[in-house]
Formats: sequence, C-alpha cells, structure tokens
Amino acid sequence: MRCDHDLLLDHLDGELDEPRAREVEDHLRGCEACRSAAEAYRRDLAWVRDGLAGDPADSLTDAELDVLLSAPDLGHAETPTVRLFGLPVRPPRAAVVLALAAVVLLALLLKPSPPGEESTQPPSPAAIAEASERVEIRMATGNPSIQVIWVMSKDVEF
Amino acid sequence: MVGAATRMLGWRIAAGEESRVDAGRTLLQRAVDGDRAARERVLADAARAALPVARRFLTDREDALEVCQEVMVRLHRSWERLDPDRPLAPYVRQIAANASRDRLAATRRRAPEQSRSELPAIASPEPASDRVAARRQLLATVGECLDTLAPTERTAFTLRHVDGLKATEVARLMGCTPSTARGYCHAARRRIRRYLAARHPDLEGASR
Repeated sequence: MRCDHDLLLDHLDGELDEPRAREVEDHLRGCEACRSAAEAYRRDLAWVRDGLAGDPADSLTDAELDVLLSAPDLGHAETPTVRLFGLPVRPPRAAVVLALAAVVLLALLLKPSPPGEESTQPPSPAAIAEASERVEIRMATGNPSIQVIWVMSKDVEF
Repeated sequence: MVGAATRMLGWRIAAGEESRVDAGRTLLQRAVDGDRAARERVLADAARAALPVARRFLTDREDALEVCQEVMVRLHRSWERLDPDRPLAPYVRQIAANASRDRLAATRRRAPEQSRSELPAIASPEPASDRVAARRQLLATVGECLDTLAPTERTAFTLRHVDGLKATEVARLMGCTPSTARGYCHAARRRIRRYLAARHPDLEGASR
C-alpha cells in the first residue's frame, strides 16, 4: 500500500471497514512519515476541539432566549390542540374538518333514492288518511327532484 | 424537565441516558398536547440546539440567532405533526441547516461574505484572569485558523469533528453526498495542518 492521506484520514475517523483499516494499520507500522502525519492530524483535531469547547457564542443567553420566545410568530404557543378520532388537530383545522363532515352528512341525507324505492305516484286516499295521523314537514331544496320530508308520528312519545 | 429536554436535543446522547430521553419524550408529548409551559421549554431547547448548527454555516452570530428564531417558528407551526417517540434533535438540526443554507445563499447573492477578521471585536467588559485570557486567545487563534477554510470545509469539519455528527448526517445537513462531506473534512484538515505548521509552529506538540 502506498501513502494515502485520504485513506489515513478515513482511518482516523473510523470510516474504514475492517480489512481496509488493517491495511492502513500495517502501512503505518512501516511508514514513519504517515505515522507522523497521523499524529499531527490527531493533535490538530484536539487543538481545534479544545479551542471551540465552551465557545460562548455557541450558547444563548437568557436575555436572547427571552427575546426569541417573545416573538409575535410564537404568540399562539398556548393554543391547545383538539383531538379528532384520536388525532391531534389544531382548532382552525378542526373547524374545517367538522364543517366538511357536516357537508358530507347533508349530501348523504339529500341524496335522491334510486328509482323504484320511492313511489313517484300521487298519494292514495288511504295514504292521505294515514298522513292525517302524523305531521310532515316538507323542505324544498335547490334540486327540484329532491325534497326533504321530516315525519313525526303521533305514536312517538316525546 | 428543562435539562432533560436539553439533553434530548443535545449533540450526543450517551448510552444509559434512556430514562432522561424518556423524560424529554414526556415533555414533548405534553407540548404536542398543547401544554404552554412544555411548548416554551421545547422551543427554548430547540433554539439552544439550533444555534451551534447555524453557526457552523454562518459566521455572523446575528444571522445565526435569526435562524434560531426561524427554527422555533417552524417547530411551533408543526406541533401536531411531531411524533414524541422520535428524537427531535435531527429534525431541529435539519431545519437549522436548511435555514442557514438559504440565508447563506441569499447573503452570497447580495455581497461577498465578510470575514471574521473584519468584524468588530467584542469588547471585554472586565479585565480577564490569565486563564480566561488564554482561553480567549486560543478561541481567537482557532477562529483565525477556521477562517482559512472554505465555508463548506469549515461547516463539514466542525459538524463532523467538533459536534461529533456522523458523515451521513453531515451530508444530509449540507445537502451533499457522504463522500463529498468526507472530502470537505479532509480538505479542512489539510488546510488546518498547513496553517498550524506555517503560522504557529510553537503550537506543534503543545497538546501532546
């Protein structure tokens, strides 16, 4: 193996697999220049780490932290989340989800029945007689073929 | 509790610290559930963790502080998407790195980067003891040495060797391949070697 500082640095950083690392170790045993370079690289690293250890510029002061925490963009830090079906949802989103759910429910209620399920014939006299036993509230919708009917039977106790 | 979250967001979580991480997880769960105090603590810890990352990319500390602010705002907008079972630190570091890179790109478009040596020195408020003065001198010399590196080399080198991140994470933060990140680190170490040999031969062997 020839002298290779990139390989040497990878070795020092523990980036080499076992066979390659052994190769470099073997080379270092017989190469004074590479041994000396490896020692210098280790020393340089220790020097930089020592110099930067506890650099005050890497730490926030309490005053700086207070300023950062008081930023207007963090004004809703206390906004609680709402859980829908077990999932956390922020209140504005919760409102949107609930509104969508209401629309879907309404659409299902207003969905016209398939042909045949509901008679399109005019009500018979018997049906009219039966109707007198109950209260019906009819609501028109935007679609002329759809009508919402609320039925309250006299048999039902409230 | 603050300490627990700080450790969770810290650079290295040593083996055996799982219980502390669990405490951090509880704090994060409370924050996700809307607890105001918990949210403030998580945001504060995120800012503390983001600052060193931002400073690896940006030489101007004011810019780094603005990145911290951005990290807090991004985090604050995504409470409901956070998973308390996953460590928050990589997410915070990624936001900080992305915001820093965006800021760096914008700065480069506007004007060439101002070197550290052109920045006004921070006045010392009181006479320093010999030990403190020596530390300041060492920090200044290391800073001067790191100024000789290309920005990408300095970023990769400090993230990898000062903050102890793996090459794969350095690459992810920098938006490059692990092999490119390793190349930056190697180039940085060669430059540091040359700088020390040429400018501070007196330091040779000082840390032996």
